[in-house]
Amino acid sequence: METTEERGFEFFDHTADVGIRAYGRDLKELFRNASKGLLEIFADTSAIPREAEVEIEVEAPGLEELLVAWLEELIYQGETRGILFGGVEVWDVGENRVKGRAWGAPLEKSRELVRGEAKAVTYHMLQVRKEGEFWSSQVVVDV
Amino acid sequence: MKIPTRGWFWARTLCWSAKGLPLLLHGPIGYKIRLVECGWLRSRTVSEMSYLQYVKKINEFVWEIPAGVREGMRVSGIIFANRRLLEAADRDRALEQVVNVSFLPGIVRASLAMPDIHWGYGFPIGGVAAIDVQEGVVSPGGVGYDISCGVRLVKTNLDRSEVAPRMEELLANLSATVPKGLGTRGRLVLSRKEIEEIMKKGVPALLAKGVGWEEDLQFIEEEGAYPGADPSKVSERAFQRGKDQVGTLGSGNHFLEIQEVEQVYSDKAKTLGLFPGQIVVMIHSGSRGMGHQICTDYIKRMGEKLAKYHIDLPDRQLVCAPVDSPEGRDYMAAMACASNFALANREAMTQWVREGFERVFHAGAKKLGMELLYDISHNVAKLETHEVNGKSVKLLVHRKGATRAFPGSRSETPQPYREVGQPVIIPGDMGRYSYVLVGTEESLKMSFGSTCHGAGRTMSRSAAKKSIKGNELKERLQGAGILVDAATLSGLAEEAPEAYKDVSEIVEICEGAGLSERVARARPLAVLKG
Repeated sequence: METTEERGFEFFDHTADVGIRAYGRDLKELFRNASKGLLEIFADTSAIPREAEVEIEVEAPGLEELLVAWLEELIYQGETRGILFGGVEVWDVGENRVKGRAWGAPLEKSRELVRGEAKAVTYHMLQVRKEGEFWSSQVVVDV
Repeated sequence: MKIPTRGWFWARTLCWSAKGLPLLLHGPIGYKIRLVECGWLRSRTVSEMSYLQYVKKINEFVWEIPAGVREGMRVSGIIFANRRLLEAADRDRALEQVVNVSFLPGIVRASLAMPDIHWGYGFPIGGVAAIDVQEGVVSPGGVGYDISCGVRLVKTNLDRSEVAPRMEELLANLSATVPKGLGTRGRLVLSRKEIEEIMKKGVPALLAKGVGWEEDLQFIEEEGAYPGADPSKVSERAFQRGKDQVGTLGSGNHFLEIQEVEQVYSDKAKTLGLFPGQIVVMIHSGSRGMGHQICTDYIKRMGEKLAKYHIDLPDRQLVCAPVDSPEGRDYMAAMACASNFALANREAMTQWVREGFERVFHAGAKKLGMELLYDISHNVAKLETHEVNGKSVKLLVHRKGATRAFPGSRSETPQPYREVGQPVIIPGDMGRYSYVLVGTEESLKMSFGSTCHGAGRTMSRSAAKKSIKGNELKERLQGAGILVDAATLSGLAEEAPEAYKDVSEIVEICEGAGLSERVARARPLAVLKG
């Protein structure tokens, strides 16, 4: 089993829902790892082939809101396009804007990989911060 | 004594080291948080602070956190629970959330919590806040993401001996016709205009499509149509997420169960049309992607306006806006759309259930007695009139994981149930039982006519998944005579019976406190899990 260091994220307990804590050497890595955490709620991402892609660009007033907006966009795009995402590329993250791409496979072809569903991203316990060399984030999602 | 809102609290906390060893640490909470940040402690076991020492016992089932305990509290917190559940709520940090809700502008009498209270975000699950519409706020977090998530119970005139031999066939039939799990689409082909009609008019708009029964309307809250719905207040994103989902179960804790009434507690069961041995069908679902997106949209929009309305809150997830403001009015109109969507969603699934029974038993659903007992939401804010200090006041009652439980004297209670009170449907867990209750006069006085909504979790989802295997659980349930068809095995494990409190304890406390009265208990025979 991979360690948290290798995966770049970990789940933490929240009674009725799921918390994701992610780490990164820079914001791009942090956003990528937080996304991985979110996508792992949906399915075993390692088994999802790259058959569909969606470019994503979101804006928000601050870094914490930006992480929420980015993760929300992954939920929205997955649900409305019927794609089970396997991963993301994060191209550029600023204080107010993030640009990248999510990739995955059509849900109907990968239904056997589905574990569950993340339905919304909350502001509860929300945190994005830099400690020394590392960035870390904490977010609770509604499942 | 007043506790500062922010700062370093001195407290004794049971923690776990990063290696999993228990540690009893005495000292300021800030230093423990620091240890967590450095990786010395596991964070989930560090509670902010205990409120137990400030709780006053009113009686065996009612506890108060006085308004003076923390600066900013507008009213006290009242928790309906026994001592054990109260202590569990404190460990779960849910008492802190009861206190936080008491900060909301316009809150009347108290921030209330039902016995199934557990840690939510912003509001605790099981939280009730009645807010004066003249000077108060509406909080999307006080309604929840799954707007009008709720339960309905469909009766039959069949008894167990008639259904048991066909149970496998019946479950397979329902599994094939009720879409469940992630990203499934509804079977109804609806135009944009038709979906907007559903958002605006609720179940009657579905009846116009030939789905559902006219006679169901009187047994649905608001007679199947929430007032004030305006689809123009719903974003295109919310519309897009919901447009294919009318008549779909969804995932998470949503389910459809075939149950047997195993016990009735009083003659009131007769008035509700329930008898021992009777087969009934329970459906638990909500407003699907549409409700989640509406909540997301308005939390964001109201969050940007908090300063404008000079609202200071202890938790960002409690964001709100004055009821009488552009943001408040728009949210109410959008919330009503999601509520109508949820009611229509459950009505459409009822149609699939009735058709499934018709196919298996070769008789019409009306002949099979498949009438709706009641449909009630447990995530919603409703405009209601209540008596406060001898005066009749219009309130917006937020029920987040709590159910309206009105007595028969209220006009909202359907006419045929006026003698017994409004039915309350309480789903338990898939291994034990669920309940049908009725509302009481006392609940009006104590909880603005509210009671519990379910068992409440006792184990987190990840803990359940770690200790329970989905396939083993399925076998175990089948051994106990409960057939299971689940969208995913990991989803099934998360919803294992042992992850929930015993719902009997919860409904007994509700009865002991006077919030509601037990009428019948039903146990699951077949479970369709989203």
